[in-house]
Amino acid sequence: MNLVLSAMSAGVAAALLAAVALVVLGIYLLRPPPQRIRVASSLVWERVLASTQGARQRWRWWLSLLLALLIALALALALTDPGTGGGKDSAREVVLVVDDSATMTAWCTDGRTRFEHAVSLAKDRVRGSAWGTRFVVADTMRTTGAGHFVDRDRALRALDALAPVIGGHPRFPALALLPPSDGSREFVFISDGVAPFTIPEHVEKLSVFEQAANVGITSFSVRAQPTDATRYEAFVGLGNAATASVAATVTISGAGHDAVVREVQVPARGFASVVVPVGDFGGGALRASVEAPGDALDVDNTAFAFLPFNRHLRVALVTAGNAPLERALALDPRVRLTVLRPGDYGSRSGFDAYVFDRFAPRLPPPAPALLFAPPHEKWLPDAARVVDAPVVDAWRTGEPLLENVSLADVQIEHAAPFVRTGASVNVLARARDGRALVVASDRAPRWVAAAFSTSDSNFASQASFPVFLANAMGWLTAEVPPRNESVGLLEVPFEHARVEALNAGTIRTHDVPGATLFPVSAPDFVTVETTGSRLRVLVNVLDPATTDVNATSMPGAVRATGTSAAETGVSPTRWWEGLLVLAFVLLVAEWLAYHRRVTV
Amino acid sequence: MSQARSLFNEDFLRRLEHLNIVTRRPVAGHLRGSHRSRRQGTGMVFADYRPYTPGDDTRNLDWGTYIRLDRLILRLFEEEADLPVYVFVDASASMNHGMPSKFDFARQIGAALGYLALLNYDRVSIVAWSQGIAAELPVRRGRSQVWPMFKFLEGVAPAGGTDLGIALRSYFGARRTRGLVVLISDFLDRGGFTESAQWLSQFRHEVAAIQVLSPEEMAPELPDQVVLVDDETGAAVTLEATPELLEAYRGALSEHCSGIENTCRRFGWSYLTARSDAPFEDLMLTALRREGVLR
Repeated sequence: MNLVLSAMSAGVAAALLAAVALVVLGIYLLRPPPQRIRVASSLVWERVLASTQGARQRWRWWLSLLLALLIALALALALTDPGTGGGKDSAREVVLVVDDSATMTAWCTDGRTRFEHAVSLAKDRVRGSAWGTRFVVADTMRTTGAGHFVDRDRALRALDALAPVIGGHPRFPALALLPPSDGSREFVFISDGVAPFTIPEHVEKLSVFEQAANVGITSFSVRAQPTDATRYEAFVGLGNAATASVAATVTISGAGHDAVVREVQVPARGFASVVVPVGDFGGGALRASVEAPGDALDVDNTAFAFLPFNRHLRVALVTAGNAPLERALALDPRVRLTVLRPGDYGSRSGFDAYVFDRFAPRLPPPAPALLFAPPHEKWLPDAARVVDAPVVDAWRTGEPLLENVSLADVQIEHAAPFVRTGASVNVLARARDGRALVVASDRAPRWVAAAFSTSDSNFASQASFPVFLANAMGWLTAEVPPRNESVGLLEVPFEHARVEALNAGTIRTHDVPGATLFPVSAPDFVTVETTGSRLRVLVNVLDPATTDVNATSMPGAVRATGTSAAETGVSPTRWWEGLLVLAFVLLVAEWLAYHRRVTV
Repeated sequence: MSQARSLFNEDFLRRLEHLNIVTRRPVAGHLRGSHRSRRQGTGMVFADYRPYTPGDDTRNLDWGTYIRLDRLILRLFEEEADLPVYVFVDASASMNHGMPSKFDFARQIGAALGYLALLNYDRVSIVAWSQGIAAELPVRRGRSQVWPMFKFLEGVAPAGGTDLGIALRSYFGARRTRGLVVLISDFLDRGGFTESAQWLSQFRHEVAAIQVLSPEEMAPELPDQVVLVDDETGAAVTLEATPELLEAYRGALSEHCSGIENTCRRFGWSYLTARSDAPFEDLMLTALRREGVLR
């Protein structure tokens, strides 16, 4: 029997026990001497002692000392948290790494997930270890602290607290990458082997992999038909992880129309796609779901896309003549363009947005406007004198207006930068000297102004110019394209934002300076609102690697099916409770034998 | 002797005066007294007849018998003699214990018995003893000796060990008239009581043993751990005062007292145990009468 002290080292424990024994012995030796009483004669007492207590009196003191020592030592030993058994080997340190990535949520044939198998296997490993073994529980999604070794109870609680994480990028913990030089530490990695890890040789690998059938959505998007920009269709890509082809059912649902159902045959370990016209749906979120027989993974069975509300924008271009700009606007399938001369401005109305080229009306326009090199008007920021060849030094890529827009290669001949922009004006791009080159106002009607024109720069010939125009048209008409994000912890550039999800409802947020963080654990359509701003976020998995739950790198490892403590050794025995009981029993015995007085 | 004086109040002394010290056997006193003796003379108690011989006192002739039998028969009467009373009061250090003190109680008993004896014109000797004879009041007779006797007892202080054998041998080594020996002691004598009693019994005295024990001796109350120091020898005894040990002590003390009583009964002596805190009048008026020492 190998006694192991869990709470302290053997040396410290020995010192503690010795100190306790010395203290008890000292107390006994320092006890006040018994009271001396003068009696008429000790004759009768001597006769009594000769017949009863003579010899007993001598060992009575020693027995009392022994009892006190045993009580004190039992209590002190309980503090060391001793125990025996629980493993064939002596106590050591074990680093347990549990894979909690998305593919671990795949169902096995016994009705449990791979993750549940992994946790069971890890618990068995903990319970089966020798008493005194200390553990670190780590996971591939970095949800645990995993910084220090803990005892078995805490390790079991840490394993209970683990949960699979959808989204994000799994990573093998750095803690387990390098073994200690003395080899006293054991490393165990429990996974299905699907996530692409580089696992060091010294790590013992335990697999919970089981072949599973899975069909998942690997892509989902909505776009206008090339032939008719007002017509939209949804593109749904499917992946099949199984070794046999599967007939899957794809359902597209959204507002304003009945759900559309399509049957798709997905080839073995291959991909398939289906295109569904969605022009008859109302604007907003579209939900795609797939069903397949024996499907093992849930998280990739749903995806969301966004169907624009305003599919036709009546835009008036007010210019003295700018063919590149006119062509760029005409390329946007949503735009119904009307070109007006500056003198004709005001003669027609009913436009959803205006684009002013080197022109600005005296009063704010009745609809949102995009302005290039506007002359000074009172409703616009003051412009500085014209400067030559300003260089765009910084622009705010996080703004919806500049999303996916690069100004790095934009060269400007002349520009009249804005000054005294005011608090209501948002500077989107600045020159090297810090003056504003692109500004926007969120006040109604919205407007966006560039300090240079397309004819005085090469902006119109940049690849990102149509994107900028599309962003501007969307922002001006309050229809900002939704952001695409993966499942996990998301960040939006608003403070104190309120987050509502289509499926999950209101989501609890965490405020950080300049941003708001919130978790999304499954595919969803999320609306983020703050004062005067709204942002839509499409949260999807859409990861072929996740869908392919059978692409394991650990096919030949040991299958995790309930390795019990009995297989790994004798069940560990915890001693401290027994020691406390022993101390209590001895205390009662000592009291009954030495302190209970009935007659005196 | 202030305690004795307060004890011997007028009413108590009057009641004592109605008591007499009695003996089971005829006494061997030399002087006239109120106790039967083996000698025949002019007493009141008829003893026997014998034929008349010239010179006998003709006042004792039984004339009725002479008329019936025509023979001169002389009536004999027991002569009444005084009783020698030897009061042995234990004055060892062990008697100086108890509340009230065993020694005070013992000398009160001795004083009371001596008082009764002097009232009856008996000869009284008081002996204070410990490891021998500590002090001795020579023979006194008559009522006038009461206060000298009290004064003697007042002057005795307890000290030294206990050896009844030496005291008896010292005192009765000289020739003493057979009488009543009153032993007042706690009898905590390491030399034992039986041997001393055996030696004393050869003189055929009437003996009354009064064992005085204190309440503390009969029911001791001790702390858990205690060292008992013998006041006579200085010997120390360490003990753990468990309930079991206290019970064993009470048994041993009872056995000790029973041994003394059995010895006394074996020799036909009187024996009684007295607690030092017991009412003194009860002892004198009840216990000693019950034992046949007083009448």
